[in-house]
Amino acid sequence: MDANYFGKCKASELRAEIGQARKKGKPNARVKVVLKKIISNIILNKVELASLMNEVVYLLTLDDYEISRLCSHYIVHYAAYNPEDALNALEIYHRFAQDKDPLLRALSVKTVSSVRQKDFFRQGLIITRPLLDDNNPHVRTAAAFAVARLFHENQVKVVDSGLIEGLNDLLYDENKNVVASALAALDSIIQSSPSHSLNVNKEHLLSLIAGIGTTSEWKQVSLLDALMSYVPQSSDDALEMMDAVLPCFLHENTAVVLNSVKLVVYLSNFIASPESNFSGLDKRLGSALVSMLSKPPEIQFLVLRNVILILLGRRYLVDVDVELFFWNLDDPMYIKDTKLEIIYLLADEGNYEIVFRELEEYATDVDVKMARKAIRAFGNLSIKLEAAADRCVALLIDLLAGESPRIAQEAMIVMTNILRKYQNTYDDTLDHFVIHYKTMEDDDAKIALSWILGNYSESITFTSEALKYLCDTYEKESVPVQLAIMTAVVKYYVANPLDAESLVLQVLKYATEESGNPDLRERGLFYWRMITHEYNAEPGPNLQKYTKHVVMERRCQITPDAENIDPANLEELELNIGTLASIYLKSVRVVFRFAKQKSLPKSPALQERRKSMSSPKKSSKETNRKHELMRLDNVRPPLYSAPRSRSTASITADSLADSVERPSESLKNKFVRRASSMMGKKHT
Amino acid sequence: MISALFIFNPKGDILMSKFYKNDVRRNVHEIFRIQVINSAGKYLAPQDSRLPVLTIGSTSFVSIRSGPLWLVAVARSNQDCLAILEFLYALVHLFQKIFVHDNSPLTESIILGNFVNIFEILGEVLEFGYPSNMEPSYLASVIPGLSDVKVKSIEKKDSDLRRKILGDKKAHSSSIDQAYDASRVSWREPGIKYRKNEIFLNVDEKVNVLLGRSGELLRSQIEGAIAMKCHLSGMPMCRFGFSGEGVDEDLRDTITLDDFKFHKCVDLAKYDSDQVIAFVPPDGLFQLMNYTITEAHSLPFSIVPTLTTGAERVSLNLRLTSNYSSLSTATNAILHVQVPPGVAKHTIRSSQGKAKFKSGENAIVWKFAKFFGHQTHELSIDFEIPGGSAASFKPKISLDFTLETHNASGLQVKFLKVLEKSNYRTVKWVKYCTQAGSYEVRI
Repeated sequence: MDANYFGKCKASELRAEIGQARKKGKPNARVKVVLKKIISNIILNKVELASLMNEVVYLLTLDDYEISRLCSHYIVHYAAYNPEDALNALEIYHRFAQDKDPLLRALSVKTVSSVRQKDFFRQGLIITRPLLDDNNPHVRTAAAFAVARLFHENQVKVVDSGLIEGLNDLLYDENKNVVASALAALDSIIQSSPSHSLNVNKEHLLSLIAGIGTTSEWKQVSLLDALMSYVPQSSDDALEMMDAVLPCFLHENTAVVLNSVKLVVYLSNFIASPESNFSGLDKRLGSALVSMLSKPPEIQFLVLRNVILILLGRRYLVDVDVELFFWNLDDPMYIKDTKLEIIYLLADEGNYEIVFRELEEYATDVDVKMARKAIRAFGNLSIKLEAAADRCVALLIDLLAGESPRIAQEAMIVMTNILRKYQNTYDDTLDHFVIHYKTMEDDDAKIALSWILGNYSESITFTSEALKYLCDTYEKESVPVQLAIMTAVVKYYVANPLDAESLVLQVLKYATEESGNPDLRERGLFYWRMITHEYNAEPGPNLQKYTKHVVMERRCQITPDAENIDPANLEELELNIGTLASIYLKSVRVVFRFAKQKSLPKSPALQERRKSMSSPKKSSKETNRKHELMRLDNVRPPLYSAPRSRSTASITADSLADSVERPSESLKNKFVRRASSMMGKKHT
Repeated sequence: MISALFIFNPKGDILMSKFYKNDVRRNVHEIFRIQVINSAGKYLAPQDSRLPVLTIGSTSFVSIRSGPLWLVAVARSNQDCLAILEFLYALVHLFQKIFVHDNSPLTESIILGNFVNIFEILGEVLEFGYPSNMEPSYLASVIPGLSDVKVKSIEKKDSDLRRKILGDKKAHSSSIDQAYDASRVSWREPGIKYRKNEIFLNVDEKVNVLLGRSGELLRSQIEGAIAMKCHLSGMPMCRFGFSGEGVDEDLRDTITLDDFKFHKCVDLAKYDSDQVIAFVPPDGLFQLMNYTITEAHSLPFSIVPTLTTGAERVSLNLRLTSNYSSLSTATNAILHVQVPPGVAKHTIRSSQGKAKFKSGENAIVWKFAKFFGHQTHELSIDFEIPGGSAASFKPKISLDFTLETHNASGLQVKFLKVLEKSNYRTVKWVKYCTQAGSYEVRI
């Protein structure tokens, strides 16, 4: 077993061991043992071993392929720490590059191109060029990747040396494996250079796809990815290509499947109605995606994120059954989260009964955290589907009566959203909600309760008790809750001056005289001046007429917004299906500052983008607002932001909107938070 | 694509590291160790709440677990994340195939015991960070140390021996040429010989079922896999079908076309055009295809629970009926009734089988060594529930069983043909087996 050789060693010990081995007649076996120890120190990154360079370079000359390989690992790793001694190896590699054993030629070009030293780079340019035309495919493959490595080192010199042309020629190599390697090498060059792009003609690409079955799965991935740079000039071009790619949907390797999905989505930009050209395309795409859900959770997660992306942009291309996205008991949390988002997107008038039955189960899940998420999903669905709202309200009432206070609180929060959407439809059910006022403990829940009390004080039978209860501990509440209660009390006062007078006095007195918080004091003073203004002092039904006008403004409408994502953003993400950016569902540049931007190429066949979801038309102004919401770099305003120039009532409503986040946003915010908190520790 | 690759043990010690590009620092693994591995232990965060990808600045860490070990790929900028994940899993399978010989997860001693070979493999399977060639035969042809570990066939043993004795360098170059020969299939060596040509085909199905509180079917799904073991000489071409040659209607009726996933040896283009599953099989054991069926099918077992609630007492009656033919027999049928902690059992009665309360697991376990077809057995349990929360009493009921010679989907292998130049006779074995995946009742 090699395990005995694993561990950090001192350079002096190893030097002695090499010396001893060299005294023997047949040193190779002992040398290999020393080299194994050296490998373990490469793994553990022990820098001190750089001083052994001369000894290791000498070992290269032993005529043994295994030893040469192990030595090469050493040289690649340590040449940077001991560049002068490493130079001695150059001559040997030069000889290897002309050896008649292809394995040595490949080893030479791979090693020399991997060392980041000027002299090695220069040597690399010299030996790589002839090896691109080597008669052995293994050597040509190694040379292809050597070009990519050298390019990373110094773009200008590599371009000048004509290596790129040599690499391009490999695209027409007789051996498919070499072609695929050349594509991968070119891909890395294109990624890091703004001025290079892949240019291959259609016939050649089609011939490559035709033989796709005989290449290895990873070569298929590079090939499919390379096909993304093909620009169809007519719909027929695109159709022909799509037809050739569709069999890949059945492959076992999910990277092959998703890359072919990416290609099909890309090609559908150039076809007026792809689903009518290929009957059952939507079914095939749907089951290609769903069948990947039997893979390990990490892979499932990525697939699910991309299902969201495709549903947002290309609903008409996928036919999937919502039930396939229901939770399995052993799904990890991040899968359950993502599935909830998909369930939300797939729910419609036709299937909401099934979806609701399922969500009801989740809402009573043992895991309170997941139960709360399910309840949020409920609320969002009832905003999306009017038919579902009654059912949702009935369920929320049930949940409130349940034993778990956390769930009751969540139900309260969700209810505020429903009220914003359906205004006065549920006035007579509000008693069922407010009766649980004593169980509200979280800030968000208290804010929700206050908001309901303020806006619907007349429909609720015990507004005064509930508000009194909230005010009893007013001093101890956090500022956002204090603000919400204050607004609620003022609204109540406007509606019912007699009952509320003492409460208003108590709250405003505390806010203006005792509280140290400027926001609270500011708003308290504002209300105070308004209430005591002479225009409002008119007795009778017109008492506080103007206050009423300002405070009791109707709540702002809420619309389902998860389905709106900036089309430009979506277009870019569709070109990046399966990549890291597809997890975050953000513009690539937002996540990765240095990534090359992709956009749809110009072509006479390019079709106008179709609407994905059959959502009702919205005014442009509204849509713009939603785009703001979906923009992920947007930081949510703090709940107790200073009053803005608009009326006070809408401030409360706004902060409510902020407190009621959808599951999708909470997940995304997690990413943003994580990413931004790490920014400080960024490394290059 | 991948800039660096690491393998960690659960403590966060490095067992393996390999750099492919110069765009990350040598100590980049420290970030992952601190942010993920160590923080996982510290806060006792449940494993499943952590995302498999962590992005910091432009650097992303993509990780999977194999047993206690972490396999982590580091990538810069926006890379094909699914390919990276798929590659990591393929890597685990490769290591299992070469060093473990079965599907048990990797361990620290396996990695350290073969660290030189693994380091060498990592140097070959990725070229400049792009997955290249993961075929064991290719790897054995470029990595000299590997041929000692894995001897693929009799021929291989021969050539290795010759190489050792004669120091024959050409043995290397001829096998490396083979690895690139496009006319050859990469997953099968030429010149394999067996005295007796045999092919074993196993149809294994897992039934995932969710039943409602009165025993009605809420959801059911079958995950099927067809595994093969080939002991065939030469370069055989196999054709395989669920129904008569050419006519494929049966297949399309039972399963929707695209719910299949095929092993890489299956010619997908041919399947797409002619619906024929044709392939040159790899030697030994492999999974030919897997499929899922979500359409209705008959359930092997039905479970009907009846729950009667009193003030502090709940009685649960379960009726378990087998629906398969009386010729088949299920083995190891075990029904679990998991109850919340604090609930005490009062009495258990069962018409057959052994029923016991296991306080360690908080569950009632009802066991049958054998469960014959077309039979019904009952289990009644009385619980005492302290605190009077009987209304919200929700036991978790799940069933486990193995059913040989039966397949839940009713899918039948109709033909399996082996064509080879030398036209030998092949002995074929077909076996069906159905197992419970998650077979549950939701109350």
